[in-house]
Amino acid sequence: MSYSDKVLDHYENPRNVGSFDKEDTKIGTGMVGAPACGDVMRLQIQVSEEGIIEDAKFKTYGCGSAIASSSLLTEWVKGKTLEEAQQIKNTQIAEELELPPVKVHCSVLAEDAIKAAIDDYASKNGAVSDKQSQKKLA
Amino acid sequence: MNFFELFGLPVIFDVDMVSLKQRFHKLQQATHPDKFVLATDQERRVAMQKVTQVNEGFQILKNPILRAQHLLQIKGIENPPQAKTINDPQFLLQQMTWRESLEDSRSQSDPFAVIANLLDEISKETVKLETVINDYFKDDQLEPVAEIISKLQFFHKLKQEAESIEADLEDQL
Repeated sequence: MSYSDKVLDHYENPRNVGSFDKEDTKIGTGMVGAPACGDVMRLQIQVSEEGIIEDAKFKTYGCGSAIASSSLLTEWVKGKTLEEAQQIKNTQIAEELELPPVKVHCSVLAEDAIKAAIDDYASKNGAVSDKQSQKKLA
Repeated sequence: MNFFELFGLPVIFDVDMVSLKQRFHKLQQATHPDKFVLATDQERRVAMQKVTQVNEGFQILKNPILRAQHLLQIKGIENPPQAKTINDPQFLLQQMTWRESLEDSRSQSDPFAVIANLLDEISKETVKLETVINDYFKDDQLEPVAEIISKLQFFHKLKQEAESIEADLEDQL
């Protein structure tokens, strides 16, 4: 199996690697892992008072596709509102990076990570995220 | 295929490694190609098939993750439900921290000590999880086993990474 040029580009020059202080209320942290391959991913967003994602950082321990998926995602979410970021689907990431079917789960991991980061930000700031409100209704 | 039966071992998670190796060598001898020099084509084919099964069985039974999955299958859980992502923040945070300290080990004054410590912790945690799996199997509580298998897979990956960095550092000596 060979990686696409886009995956290689993100793998060799990952964007936005690093971390924010996860105690900061402006920061949302999403941590996810894929049992099948043992990959772990941390994705953090910094959100403005207007609810815009100003900055994003990630750290991924995993294969090239997992690193590329999270790297691409940090680029995509910058400048988006939380709601827009919430709408990003793993299929869009897989398509952009031309991931082969066996690597699609890496893009799922990235989608789960941004959702988890948004949830974390929302719960820190008193807002009730979709998931939580559904739970409350149920 | 029930590999526990193929090896004549009790169908339990807690496999005795010494007996497993003994049975493996016995089965290997019994199916060795030298024994089939004068055999018919069909006999030889059957023997070849047996060799493959014995090798596969040994790989599965000696590996706690594969053994637990195999045992779940035997107990009727055909496709152990495996979550695509794991959602246990505490566990993931710990995994992340270990991965980071592993990555930083290269720049430490004694990277081998850092890695040795980490490998020690991994082995302790792994033994703990395997004990939990064994208890669940003993009580025939199969549902929680899949999640612990997932956790073991993270430790397996962590261990691989640690060993590969260790080998890498040794090459640089």
